[in-house]
Parts: sequence; C-alpha cells; structure tokens
Amino acid sequence: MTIDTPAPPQPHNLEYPTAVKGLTPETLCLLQQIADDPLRWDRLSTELQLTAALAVRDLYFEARQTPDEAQGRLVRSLAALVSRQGRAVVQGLSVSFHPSGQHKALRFVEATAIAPQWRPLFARPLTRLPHLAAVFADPAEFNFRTFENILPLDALLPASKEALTLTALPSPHADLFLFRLGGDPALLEALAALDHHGLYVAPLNAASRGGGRFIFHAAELSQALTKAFKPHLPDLEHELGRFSHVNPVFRCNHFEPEDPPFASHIDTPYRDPARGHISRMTMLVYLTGGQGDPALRVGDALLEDIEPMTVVLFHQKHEHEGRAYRSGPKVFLRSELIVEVKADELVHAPDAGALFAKACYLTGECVFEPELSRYAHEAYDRAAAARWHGLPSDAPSRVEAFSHKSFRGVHFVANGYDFWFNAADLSLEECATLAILDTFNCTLGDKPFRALCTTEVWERPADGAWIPIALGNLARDPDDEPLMVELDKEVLFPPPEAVNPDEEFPEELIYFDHDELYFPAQVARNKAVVELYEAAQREAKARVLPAPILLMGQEVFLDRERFIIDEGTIQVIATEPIQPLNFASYETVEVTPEDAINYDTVDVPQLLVPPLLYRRVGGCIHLMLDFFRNTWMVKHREVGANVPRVEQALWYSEEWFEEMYEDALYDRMIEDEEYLPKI
Amino acid sequence: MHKAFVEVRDLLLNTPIGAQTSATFAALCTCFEPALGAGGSGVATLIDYAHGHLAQWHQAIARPLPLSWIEAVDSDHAPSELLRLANTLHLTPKLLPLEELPKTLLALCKRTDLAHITQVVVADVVLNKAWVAGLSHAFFATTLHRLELPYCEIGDSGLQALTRSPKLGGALHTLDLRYNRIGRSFQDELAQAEHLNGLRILRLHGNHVDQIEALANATHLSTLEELDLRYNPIGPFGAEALAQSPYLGGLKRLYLHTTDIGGPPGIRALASSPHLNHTIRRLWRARL
Repeated sequence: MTIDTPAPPQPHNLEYPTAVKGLTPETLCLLQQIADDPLRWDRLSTELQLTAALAVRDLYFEARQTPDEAQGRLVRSLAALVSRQGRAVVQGLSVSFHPSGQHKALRFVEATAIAPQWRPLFARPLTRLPHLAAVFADPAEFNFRTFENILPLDALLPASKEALTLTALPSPHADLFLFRLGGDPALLEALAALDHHGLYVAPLNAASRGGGRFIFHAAELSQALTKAFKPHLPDLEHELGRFSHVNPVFRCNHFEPEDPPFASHIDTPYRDPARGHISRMTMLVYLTGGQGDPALRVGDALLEDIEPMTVVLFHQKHEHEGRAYRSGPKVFLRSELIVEVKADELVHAPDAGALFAKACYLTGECVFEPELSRYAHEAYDRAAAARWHGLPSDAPSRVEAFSHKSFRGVHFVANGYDFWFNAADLSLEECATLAILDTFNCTLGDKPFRALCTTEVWERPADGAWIPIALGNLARDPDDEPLMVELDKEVLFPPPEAVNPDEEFPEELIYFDHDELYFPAQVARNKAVVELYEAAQREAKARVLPAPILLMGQEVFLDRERFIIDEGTIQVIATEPIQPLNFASYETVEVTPEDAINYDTVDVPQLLVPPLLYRRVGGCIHLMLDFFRNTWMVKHREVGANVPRVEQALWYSEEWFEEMYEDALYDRMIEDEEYLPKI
Repeated sequence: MHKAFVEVRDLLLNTPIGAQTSATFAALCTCFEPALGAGGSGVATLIDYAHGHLAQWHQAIARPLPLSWIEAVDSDHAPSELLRLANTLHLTPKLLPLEELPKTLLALCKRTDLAHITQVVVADVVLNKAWVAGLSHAFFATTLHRLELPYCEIGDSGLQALTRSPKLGGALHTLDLRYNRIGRSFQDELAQAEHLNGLRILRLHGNHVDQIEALANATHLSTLEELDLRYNPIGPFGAEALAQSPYLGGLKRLYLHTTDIGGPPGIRALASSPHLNHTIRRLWRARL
C-alpha cells in the first residue's frame, strides 16, 4: 500500500453515490493519517484534500444510517480536521459538500440551486428525493432568513382523489380540540413514512426544542387538511374566526424517549399582511402514539396518552410543552390554521415588533454565545404573547441580554432592535452600516460579520440607561483610521481600450520571462475583447453604482450619497421594490459568484430596509432598527458584482470567444471562472 | 446661397448668444463641414454670421479640432476665428489618412497662431523620435495641459524626446503614454524630468515597465492623483516601491492588477503602505 500517493480522484468517482460504497484502503489510510496528525491536512496536495473531503462526506452519510453514536463521533471529529473544499454558495450561504469544522449544519436544497461546476460533488442521500442535495452550512453565517431549511416535499405527499377526514374526539379540556385523522390511505401512509426518509437535522436552538426536526412545504397536504376541517368549522368558529387554510409549511418532529422535552413556549403566530392572514390555532398531527408525562401540556390541559393519527388544535395564545413518549419514538407534524382578518381587527403593536426583532437577533447570536438561548426563547414567547394580550409593562429592574461587540476597534452594544455607538467613533452612515451588517450577518470576504466581531454578553437592566457610560470607556483612538471609507466607484471601472480593427486575437499564449523583452499583449484592443469587457462593465455598474454599501473582501466601502439623513431618521436608498418577507416561505437565491480570477468580486448587499430611527443621547448614537414593524419586512441578499478586467497573462482562442457569444455563455463566464478555459 | 450656409445661419439665429451648448456646437460643425468644402467667399460670410457666438464659445467649449478645419489650415483658407474654437488637436487615422498624419502634425506644431491649443491627442499611429520631438517642441507645447499619445509605439527614444524637451513643463497635468513599448529607460527619463512637476494623471498601462523605484521616489511627481500601471510587470518589488514612496500620498486612483505586482506579496505591500491614502490601501486589503 502506498500511503502517500493514493490515486487522485477521477471524474467518474467524484459522482455521488458512486464513491459512497467502498472507500479504498489508500483513502482510509489517508483519513487515518489526518486523524493522527491534524497538521497533516495543510501539507496535503489539492488532490489528496479533495479525496479526503469526499471520503468524509461519504462516511458522514453512512454514519447517519447507523445508530452507532461512536461512529458518528468519529466522523464528526474527522470532519473538524477537514477544511471546506470548493466555493459553492446557496441561498446566500457558503456551503460545503462535506462536513467540516465550520460547515457542520446539514441542510437539503434543490440540487439545481448549486452551481453546475460544484453540483456533482454534493451527495444526494435521500433516495426518494433525488432532486435534493445535501449541503453543509456554517451556522455562523445564519441570519433570520436562513435559520430554517424548508424542504419542498409535495412530491412525497401527493393527495389522491380520496379525501382526508377528521373525526372529532372527546376532549379532556375546553382549550383543546381533538380529532382522528383518516381517509386517503395513500396520503396517511406517506405521512407515516416521513419519519424514514432521513430528513432530520438538529434545530438551531436544540437546547430548548430538543429531538430532531425538519421543516417542509406541502401544498397538497395543506389543501387536503383544509378540506377536512371544513365540516368542523362551526365548532371551531368561536376560537378560530374566518378560517382560510392550513399553513402549507409544516414541521416534523421526532423525539426518542431519552430526548429532552420541547420546552414550554408560546408559538409565534404567522402573519401575511398583504393577504390579511394571521394564524390563530396551532395544529399538531401525531403520526405515532404513546404515553408521556405529559405527552402534551397546553396551559392547564394535559394529554398523557396519544393514539396514532391524533390531531390536536389549540389557540396560539396558550403556553405549551411536550415530552417524549416513555417508549417508542414520538413523531408529529406541526402547522397552524390560518384565518382572514380585517385591518381594523389588528392593533399596531410596535413594542411586540421590537421584541420579535430582538428574538430573531438573539437566535442568531446563540451560535456564538449559547447562554443567549434562554433570552431568545423568552423574547419569542413575550413577543408571541403580546400578539394576543399586549405587552406587559416591564418591571424597572428587569434584566435583558445585550451583545457588546467590538469590530475592528469599534465597540457597540446591540440587542437586535437597539444599537448603541459612541458618537465620537462613527458617522451616522457608519452606524447604520454596522447595524445592517450585524442584523443581516453579512459576509465580509469569506467570514460572516458576527464571526469577525468579538462578542460578550452583558446581562444588564433593560432600559439601557447604563450604556453611554459603558461605551464611553471604550471609545476609539481619534487618530485611528476611519472604520469605513467612501469609494470612488469609477476606480473599479477603468475605461476600455480603443478598438484596433487590425488587432487579431492571438492563437497562443506567449511566454516571457525577465531575461527577454516583454511585449505586452495588445489583446485588450481586440474588438471581441473590448465588447466583452464593455458588456461586463455595464452589468457590474448596474449593480455597483447604485449601491449604498460595497463589500470587497473584508473591507466595507460606503456611498454616502445613498444615505439620506433627516431629523431622527436614516434612509438607505435601495433600488428594488419592497416585498414582504414571509418567514415560512421558500426561496431560491441566485448563486453568488466568488472565485473569478479575472474579475474582482464586489458584494453588494441588496437592502430594503425601512428608515432607521436614531437619536443622540449621552455621547451615544442610539439606532433603532424595527425591520419587522407593521408590514415592513426586509428583503436581503448579497449579490456579487464581478468587476471585469481584461486579463493579458491568460489568453483564450478567438474561436472560443465566438463560440461563447453564439452559445450565450457570456452570462456564465460572468458567474464563474470555471467557464474560462485556460490555454 | 449655398444650402449649408443657410443651415448655419438658421442655427445661429435660433441660438441666442450665451445659450450655446455642446450640442449646438456639434450641429454647427456639421453645417460648417460642407460649407467649408464649398470654399470661396462663403467662408467669410459664415464667420460674419457666427462671430458673436464664436467669441462666447472660445472660452466655453473644448472640442477636437474638426478634420476639415485642419485641412483648411494647411490650405490657408481656415479662418483663425474657427481655429480658436477648438483647444484640442485630435489626430487619429480615423480622421486623417495615416500617411498624412505625421506631416499634418508637424505642420501644426510649427504654426505660431495655435497658442490656445492646450490638449493634444494623437492615437494609433507609429510616431518616430523625430515626430515626437517635433510635437514636444511645438509652439504650443509650453501651454499644453494634456498630452495623450496612446498606441503610438514611441518607445524609449520617443519618451526621451518628450521628457527632455524643455518646452513641456509645469502646465502639463495629464500625460497618457499607454501601449507605447516604453521599457527600460522609463524610470530614468521620467524620474529625471523634474520640469514635469504639475502632473496629476499619468497613464502608462500596457508598456514594458518593470523598474519603478526611481519613479516612486521622484519628488516632482508628488502632485500625481491618478497613476495607471496596469499590464506592466512591476512585480512585488515595484509594489513595495510604490507603497514606500513618501511622494505618492496624494494618489486617488492607482490602477494595477494583482498579476502586475506578483500576487500576494505585492498586494500585502500596497495594503500595508504607510503613505498611500487609506482608500487605496483598503482596496488592496480587500484583495488579501
């Protein structure tokens, strides 16, 4: 056996699942070496790193199929030694085809959302859902848009002509409505089988949510359940109101007897202001039966014994919790009944919105500071309760969690709604930008903003009156460089050269070295090259020139003219229309190019934010970012703008350029260097 | 009356003095071309029509000198009033037959009534040392603000003729020498041309420049605001020289590709420069 020179991966064995079965002895030896000597990884060739990463990928999915926890631990420890291979990006998140120290959150995404050049490397371990690829994301990059991974599962749950039925069952408590789910045997069978597809992932807030879970979208199931509820509406009307439909976004939970309970909480109601919809009742569909202590508690109502296919409804104002069955798995679906409401039926509750913003923020912060989890949990509950009861007035001594952060020497305090900065440290535009970067956890270079900050949790009085003093002791040195600078955007777009019609495209690369006179390529004057360059510049300018914030590498540049500051408000001028954000929506975000060598990549956060409120208090700038207020929702994504340059060290055949034009591959070239054949 | 004369007259009558724009000037040029072609006393008539407007435009508009006017210069038909309209000589093979271009250039350089020419653009024609010398000793050379000679292959000898001319001096703020096969003598010539002490824009991309230490330490180039060195193999040492230059702190735009400066070592040098302005430094830091 030749340990040091295992065969490099060939194209055919990169394809999953070809490589799953039977790792070669050489590959196993390689993994053993990495496990024995963590420093070895950095000394491996690119080919060997890829070989090892593919092997870790395959071992991971094999381990998922076995209950052997030791094997799982082994794979996890091995994954921690392997750095991410490839540069795929999905839904704005950097993703890896194998688990690594940073990219360890398993998700399933439509394979087509992965750029074609990376796609073959990603496993598709779900035999019934071969269109879904398994990706590993870095939890540090999550923001409120990407906390959850919503799977499109209509293909698994098709409704047949036979309807689902709900038979009312006697309830032990007036707050609970119980039904038995029947009818459509194929759909019931498909529901029961959901547990066996290997879709479970650990929740972000595992400490309070427990067990395994996955979230999915199933329109036909929603319609079938909606029809099944219709005969029971007269009985539910008092609690429910004007029923519209069952939310097509479901969560499937699986608890083993030893799993911690789903901690007591209040559900955050769904709201779609455009359609006048809110959710009012939570629906649980128990796919398995068993006994728990209790299996479900809703307020004062207890359910200890649950039969399979029992459906439980209760108003979302109730605090509730669930414990695992004493024996056997507890598997249930969770969704909600959505009703129509008129605008005058709702009361504007800005404090509840602020609390919800804090809860979202703290959830993201839990990745870095796990002790914030209980504050996030509390904030969600308080915000949810406020939807029905209003927010109770705070006791003066109430303590909240604040994140004290330092980003390149600038200290600030944040809780997801309020941001405080030293007024002497930053301009208002810089304050707004920092708040935006933090809220959306934007990626700078290859690192999420929050990972670039040092963070500590301050548990202090909720009124924040102590903050100016605390921050006053942490002011920057006035001689320090400004945190962000204005960029003359034109510097990114040097004008094209004049076309020389006689300039033919070279067929071969001309090598040169410093011993000989270097004749620079005149390729930049070739007509095809100039046209390509101009087209690429037009595309890049369309994104870059209107952008208020440019992210290049780990640097942040501002266009102050795109910030309008008025008394007490900062407006960040965006170019896209405002669209509501549905927390339970499924969205495919375009792939962001990252690795083009012939282009400098500029990330342009596409921000649609309501005006940011600010006030100056005690030497501080206090910003308030109520991104979720009223119907204000935020659309946020980062798009890359590849700033083109004509590369003269690498030449491409003229035929290739012509072909590129003919085949409309131009766009692809803009997206990724992989389409640039190097001669 | 010649149709073109009528068009000029109508245009001028409909354009109040003081309300002229570049667009009306362009329209005027379009009318003038055939009118001048008609020759004869009509030219004088045109000038009579245009006189009041020309006086305004003289100060307000910088435009390339139309080709037919240049030809008129040679044939002694061109009125000096017209010449004063333009402050730019723009000679390219698109405007003039290639074989005629150097000759025309030298003829213009010898004229004594073109002192108002402040900008010269000659492109896409191979200029030998004699022609470059003729240009750099032109009567108007002392007042030139902008000299652009892209794609002219002037080479090291042409650069020498330019930089050693005592006439080109402090008034020159833009020097565009891209794609000129300038190589080894570059830094000696430009670094020693202390009379070029008003340069703000220096475009040198697409040459063979690989040594820039002397340039980076040329005190007379401390006025530079834009420096384009793309497609020159200056390598990491060149980047280090730029980064350590105490005279380039006023640069607002520095055009270089990472391949020009040898990749990461060059990037690191520029990103950590103690002198370059912080925007330039950060643009390079962004590439680290």
